[in-house]
Amino acid sequence: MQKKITVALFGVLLILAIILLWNFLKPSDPVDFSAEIKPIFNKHCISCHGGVKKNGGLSLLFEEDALGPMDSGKAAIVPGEPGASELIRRIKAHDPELRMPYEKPRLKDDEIELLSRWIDQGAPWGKHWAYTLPDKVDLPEITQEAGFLPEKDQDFLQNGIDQFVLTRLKAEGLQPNQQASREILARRLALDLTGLPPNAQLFDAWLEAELPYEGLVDSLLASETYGEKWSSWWLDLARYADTKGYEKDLGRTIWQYRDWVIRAFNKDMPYNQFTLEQLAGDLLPEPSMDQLIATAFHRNTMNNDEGGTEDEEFRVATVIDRVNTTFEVWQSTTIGCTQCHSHTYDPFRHEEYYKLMAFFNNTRDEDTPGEEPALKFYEEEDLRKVEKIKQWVAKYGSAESARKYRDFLLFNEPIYQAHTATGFKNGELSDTKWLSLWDDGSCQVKNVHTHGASSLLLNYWSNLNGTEMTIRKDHAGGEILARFRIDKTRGRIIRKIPFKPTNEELTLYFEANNDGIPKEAGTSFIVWFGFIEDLPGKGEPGYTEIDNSFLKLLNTQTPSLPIMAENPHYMGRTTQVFERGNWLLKADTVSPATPQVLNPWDPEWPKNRMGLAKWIVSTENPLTARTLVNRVWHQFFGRGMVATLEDIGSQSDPPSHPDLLDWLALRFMHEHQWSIKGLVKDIVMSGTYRQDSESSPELYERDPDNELLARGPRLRLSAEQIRDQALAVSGLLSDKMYGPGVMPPQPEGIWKSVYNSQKWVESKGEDRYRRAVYTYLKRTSPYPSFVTFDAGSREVCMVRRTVTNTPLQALVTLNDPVYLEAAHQMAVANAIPDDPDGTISRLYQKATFKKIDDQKLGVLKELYTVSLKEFRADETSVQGFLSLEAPTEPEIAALTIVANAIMNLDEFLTKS
Amino acid sequence: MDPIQKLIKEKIERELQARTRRHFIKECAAGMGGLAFGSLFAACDRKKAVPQPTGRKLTERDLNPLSVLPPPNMSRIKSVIYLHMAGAPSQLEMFDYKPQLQKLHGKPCPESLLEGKKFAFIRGIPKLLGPQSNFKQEGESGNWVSDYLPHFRKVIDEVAFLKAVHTDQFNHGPAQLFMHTGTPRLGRPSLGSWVTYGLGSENQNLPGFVVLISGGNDPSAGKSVWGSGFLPSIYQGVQCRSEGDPVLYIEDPEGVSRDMKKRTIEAINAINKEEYARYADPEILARINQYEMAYRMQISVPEIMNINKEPKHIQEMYGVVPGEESFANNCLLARKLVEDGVRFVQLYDWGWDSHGTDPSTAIDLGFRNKCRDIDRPMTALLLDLKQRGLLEETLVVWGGEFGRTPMQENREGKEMGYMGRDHHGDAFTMWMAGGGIKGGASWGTTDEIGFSAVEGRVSVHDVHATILHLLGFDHEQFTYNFQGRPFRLTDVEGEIIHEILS
Amino acid sequence: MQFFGRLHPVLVHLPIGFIVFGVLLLWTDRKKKRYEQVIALAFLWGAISALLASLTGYVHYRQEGYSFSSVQLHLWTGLITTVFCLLVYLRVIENSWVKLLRGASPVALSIVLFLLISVTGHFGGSITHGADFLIEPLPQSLQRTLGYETFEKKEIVLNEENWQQLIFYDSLIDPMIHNYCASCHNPRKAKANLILTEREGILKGGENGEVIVSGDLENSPLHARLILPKSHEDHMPPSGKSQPSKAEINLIRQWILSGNSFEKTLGEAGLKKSELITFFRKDSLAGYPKVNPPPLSPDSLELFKKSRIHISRLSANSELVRVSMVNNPAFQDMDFDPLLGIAQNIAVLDLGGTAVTDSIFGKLAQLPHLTVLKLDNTGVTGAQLEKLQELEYLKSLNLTATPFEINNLAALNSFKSLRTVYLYNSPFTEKSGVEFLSNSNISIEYGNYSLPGIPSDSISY
Repeated sequence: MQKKITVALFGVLLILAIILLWNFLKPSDPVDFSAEIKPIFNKHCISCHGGVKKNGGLSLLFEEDALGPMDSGKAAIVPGEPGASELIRRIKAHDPELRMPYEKPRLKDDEIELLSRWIDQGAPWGKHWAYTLPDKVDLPEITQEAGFLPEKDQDFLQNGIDQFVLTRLKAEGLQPNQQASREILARRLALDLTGLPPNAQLFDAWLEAELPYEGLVDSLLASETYGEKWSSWWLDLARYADTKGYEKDLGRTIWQYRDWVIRAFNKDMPYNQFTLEQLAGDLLPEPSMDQLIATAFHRNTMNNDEGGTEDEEFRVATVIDRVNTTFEVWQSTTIGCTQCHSHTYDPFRHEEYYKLMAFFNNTRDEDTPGEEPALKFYEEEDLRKVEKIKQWVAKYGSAESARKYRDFLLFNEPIYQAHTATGFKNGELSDTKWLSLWDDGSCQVKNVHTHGASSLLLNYWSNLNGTEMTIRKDHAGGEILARFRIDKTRGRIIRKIPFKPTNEELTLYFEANNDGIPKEAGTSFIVWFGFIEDLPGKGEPGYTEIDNSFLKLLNTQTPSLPIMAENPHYMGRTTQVFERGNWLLKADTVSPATPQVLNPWDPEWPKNRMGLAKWIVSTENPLTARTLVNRVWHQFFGRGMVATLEDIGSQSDPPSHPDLLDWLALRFMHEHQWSIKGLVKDIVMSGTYRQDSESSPELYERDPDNELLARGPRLRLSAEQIRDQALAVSGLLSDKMYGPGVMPPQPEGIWKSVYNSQKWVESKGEDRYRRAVYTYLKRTSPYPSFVTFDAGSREVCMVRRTVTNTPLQALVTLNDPVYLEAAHQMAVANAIPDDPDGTISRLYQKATFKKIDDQKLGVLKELYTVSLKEFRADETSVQGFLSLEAPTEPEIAALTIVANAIMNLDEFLTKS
Repeated sequence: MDPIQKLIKEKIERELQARTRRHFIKECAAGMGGLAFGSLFAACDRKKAVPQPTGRKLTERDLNPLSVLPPPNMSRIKSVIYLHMAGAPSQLEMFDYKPQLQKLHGKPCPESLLEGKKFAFIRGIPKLLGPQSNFKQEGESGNWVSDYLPHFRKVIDEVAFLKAVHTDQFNHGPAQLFMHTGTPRLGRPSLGSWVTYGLGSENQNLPGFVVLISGGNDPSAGKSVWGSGFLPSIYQGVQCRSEGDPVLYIEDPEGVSRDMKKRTIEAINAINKEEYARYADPEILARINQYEMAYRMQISVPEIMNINKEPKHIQEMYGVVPGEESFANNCLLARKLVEDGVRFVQLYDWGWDSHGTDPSTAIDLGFRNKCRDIDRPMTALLLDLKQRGLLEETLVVWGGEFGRTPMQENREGKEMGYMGRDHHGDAFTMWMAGGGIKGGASWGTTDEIGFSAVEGRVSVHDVHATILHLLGFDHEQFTYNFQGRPFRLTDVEGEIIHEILS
Repeated sequence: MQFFGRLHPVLVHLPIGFIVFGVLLLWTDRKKKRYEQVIALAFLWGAISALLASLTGYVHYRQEGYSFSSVQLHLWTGLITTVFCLLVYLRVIENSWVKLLRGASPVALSIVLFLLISVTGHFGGSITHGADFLIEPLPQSLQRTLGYETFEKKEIVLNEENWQQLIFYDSLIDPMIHNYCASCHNPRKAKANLILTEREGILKGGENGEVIVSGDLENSPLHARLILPKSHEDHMPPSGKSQPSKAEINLIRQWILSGNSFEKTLGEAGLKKSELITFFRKDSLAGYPKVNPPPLSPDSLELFKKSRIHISRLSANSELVRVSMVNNPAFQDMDFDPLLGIAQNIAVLDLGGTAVTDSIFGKLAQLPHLTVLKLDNTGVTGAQLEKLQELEYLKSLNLTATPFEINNLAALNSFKSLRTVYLYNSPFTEKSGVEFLSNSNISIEYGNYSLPGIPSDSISY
């Protein structure tokens, strides 16, 4: 008996021991580096052991650094051995001088436990989710559960998007809203797709159910106003403006780029092509004019014409802006941090920044006042001449020469800018811009290649006759390469000057002599000079004609547009790392490369902007498609799935619907073949988008930013939409598209830039009523009412506009003459004689697309009645009403007041 | 109980039990000497990272972003008036007395000083230019002031000088951005925006941050020097103008009476309230608030911007010219604004870029006129604030974006017809007065010719740190998260200049 | 192997248990001697398990990379305990091998053993939990009595009156060294053989030679290392540790320049007040009373907001408030009553431009912490001003643009802390009314400034 008990007891003990042992030995929950460890590092450690500071020789930013030995020789992290890991010892230490984080409270026990467990598990260094993209995402299955009506599910489930959204809603114990009414949906959709309220015809067809929802979507997507709406968004990213920025902020002609963007959206240019053309259109094999225009994307950078500035400093600033903007726009990454040091949080290194910069550092533009290279827009006839010259060169020379000739005719490159001159004696860089020699003056330009050209092309102007200019080799006593006379010119000219052919790299020594002129007077002002290989086919019939035509075309004044052009190899720049981001402290030379942590580089790609563009739109790039999807999503819902629109990385908010983001990104690349319209259609077809935006204080408190999407979007309209909508509902809006920026009325005295005489000249006729996207944008002084409604000044890339709600906005829509004119026009157009109720209802419906309810009608009617009484009582107020030319009837004046009130209603200013 | 609900309940309970059990065993294991053995599998499962929506209650700031917040520390001042002389005035003709430079006038500048230095326009070896004004020691403090500023002597004991401020920017645009936003590049909030964001504004009928411009031009860096950068745009400076509408669109249109505007806004808000009942969107409540404030602003702003109602002797003391845009008018307005609880008043006076290219920019001509034009108003401002008891709760800051060279400008190596000085950031003078400032102090000295600082060198960041300190902020703790990292006005630098604090 | 090592923390508890058990038995059984066998067994197992623990402990030390210095005490005491435990066992079973121990009483032996195991355990615990694991939770004063040094940053404060008489070294240099250097250069730690907490140490220098050469900054590492760039290897204090401010570095500089005397006073060393400005005590409360009024309730604040009374805290961590009527010009005496509910909290009161009258003074007298009072642009004549004389903290009184009556000034004489009275634009001429004023702490701001025209006003150059 006792034995039995002993055996039983032993058995129980054995089982217990086994259970215990198994529990000790079984794998502990794997620790997720990105989700659990990285945040601890970022919060507590990275400020001293990260990209900027590496105290004690420890950086926790990169795996190699973190696992390697520190200054002390010990390793902070010994994978698998928490006890041997200095990191664990130091966070547990009790001596405040030893304990980490230094001079901060001790880490929480569970954090310490987590770190130990992670090291124990071998300290696996995860790649952040943002830097890897899955191959495939499965749609979640919606299972039926209690408390949720299947029919309602069916209503909500319109496409894949809704499956993801509903899954999360169910997990949170929430239900989606029902579908919004037809009126609301039509207005929402039209504002989202075209930036305008729906037109009457379409609206009626939809309301009467003649048109299915998809038909409504397709019609709106097909309308040309679609491109105008979406370009506003892209132009914020492209920092498009009509002026150069900085102190003088002079005008710049670059609107052709804006038009290119509108057209690209309207023809739904695939996003990969859209990217290639903007980043590297000039490097395509035979770039079309349009493809060259597209490269103005990166010429939207600012240009500093302030006197006394160093052109190279601002050229570098421009290149830096291009690197930063490219990464902000396409990769949701603030790479700018790495300009000075390795990124504090994200796995990008200091050197990698300069490797990226090397892609952009080889373009011709140099912060010159003329903003060369500038694409010339010839008249048709001249274009034919260009073509003829090209054909001539192709026929007698080579295809390569033909391209050189075409390039030189289209955008005058390659050339040597005046500011490359040094060693001035009796001369100066006039206004720090133009090469100007006085009598007996000289200067040098180094590293010039002439390619055996027998002539020099000189762009200059002069106010004085009788200067003899000599160009010598190397120095004052050098061989004479050219000698010519300079006389007074009428403005700038490009002259062809005989030049001794040579094939070596030269230093040109310029001399000027003119005895009969005042001291310190500039004999001429040289803007640039250049060489192009001699025109082939000398002696062939028609040679002289072609030769003359070439020079004549060069001197033809045309509209122009700054574009990108790559340096020829002999003018190439090397890129060096700037120590601590200071452009004057140059360190190691680097060559173009993309960050290690992102997708691999295909050796087939050229190591220039074209290669970079291809790398960006590679389907392996984890960030490009996600970035685009996230931002397009934001346009509809006012919140990105990753709420930090500008940052998808280790510091960003995690996505609200990670799988949906990836699913849409993959679908965008593979199924829609980068079609933005395809993506947009997916979103607006979803039940999620079609929900009503009604809410309750409880739901608001639960989910203030509508992250879970249990309701439809409800957002204040953008600056552009607010203006366009007011003009549209009043019937004033012009549908004229494209062309130079227009200047609708703005108060006096807004433009006050230093050293700049440009004026705001109010546009006449329909140009007053153009869509906002065509309004002239001066960087230091943007159109005031747009700024009030949170539009930016476009000096740098703006990923997201902060939406504010201020009294100044109320003043705009209440008192800005633009809005008053719209209200008046609306009153005039809709007045039904002797039927104020009918008129007010109509005004309300025209504005909001909804039927008015009795209560609102009551309020507005009261406003009408009292105002009418007042206008009738005081005739003078009607006489000068709104400073209109003709006096107004009291009824119309009172209706205008009502229309003005309607156009200030929250429901009018908001997309619901 | 509904059978399905029962099922769910059971399921939840089961899971809970399972979890507790696992948890218990794991805890024990950890307790027994940390015997946890790890697996080597680790996935980067982003699902773990999905955040829970953070529910939050409405705060006053949701409805009124300008509502007052207390500073982290007690402070003596509640408002700031910042007088910026755009174009950078010459310290050598105003406050930084350099008799030795007078002796060296006309001598070539020692080359050792020029080594490694960059100037905007000076080329080669320029000549030294002695001070063009006469200096005297004034007041109990015995601080120096030049005869270009005869009135200012009267308040010399109210102000504390910083004579060795330095900046590394020597072009106007970037230097002004640096002075007002803490960085020479665009995109950061201005000092006034930071302060208004941090403290809000007491007067709910006026903007919290007002900008007044004189001198005929905007500052070189444009409106970005009072921009809100990444802060919400409600914190950007509101430009009040002496010509046209004092604030854009503040005047009622022709033929619309105040009453009618009032009724319009009442109608709008009545309907908006109805909307709120349906959508529960707090933005609607905020909009109702903003329309009410807009209406109040329509009354208050024109009233406060009207300087004609000020008594004659006050107008005379400032030297105002009603109806014109002048620094004097702006100084008087600044007093009225802080008196009425505006948090930050920023004055820009353009036209201080004294290169000597023509009479208007000559040190002894145009520059002297500029000094005359600010001398009376800024003196009057300090006296007027003082007599009203406002100076003890207001900080007045004066300065340019950099200083000027002790050498005469020789643009592109040419001798110039007029006496001018080039841009120079190594040492220049600023002053502060008001609450918390030690009147009569002078901190920092420059070398014998005023080229660089010998002692008491302070940076633009130090100036910012000091201003924030006076307002009750710790400049290192006062941050705003943007693009994934906290930003500060003082970047990673800045030390409080205790030497001028009382 | 590592696994085996990690059993150490588990196994160590076995010998502890056995030995304590054995000791307790020995004690209880010292008279009756009934359990001798059991006792022997306890010590036997104690010795065996101690051996096991020692072995695993050694493996643990080898495997986990502990330094020998950190474990040596534990290791040796552990081994001694093991051996001693065996000895005690042998003594208990009266084994003939240990004749030497015959004389020793088992109880005494066991007490030694108990002490040994306690010490060993303590050293072991110190390795894993830190040496001051037990001490840490104790109050600092007790820690100091126990002989543990505690680190507290010393606040360096001078006062306006006697700063020149203070000994430079004692009042500034030593506290500064304490704050920035002592944690590494103290007698216990003495990094680089340098001790900076004692005068001798400072003069002696460390393994790299002297740290001070009187009057020679460049050759005095004590100063030279401070001003190296932070990124420099030799910079002190090492990057990551708290760094002295510019003004503090200047102190070291001046001290060395003045001959690094331990006796000289600040005055003798020739220090200027301007160099010390940061060390004078600053009133962090900006002149507001140091009191803790009851917290404000959000509801009452909401209520005041509705009646357009502006209330804001003076700072985020204070309950003192500033009250103003900036948007409420119609405010009058009777509207004040609700504010008495937060009477303790009001430190600044701005009634400027309101409709209040002299009868407000009676109410204001109930605000004990009132420091700044603004009554400008009101109708007060000062008739009941004397009611405010009990206000202990009232510092500033603004009566600008009021019909204040001159003879009411006398009431101010008994005010306790009043410093400034603003009387600009009231029926006063400059300097009038001084005859009523005997309190010399009070200064009156009459204002009425003017800037008379001078010829240069109209010259255009």
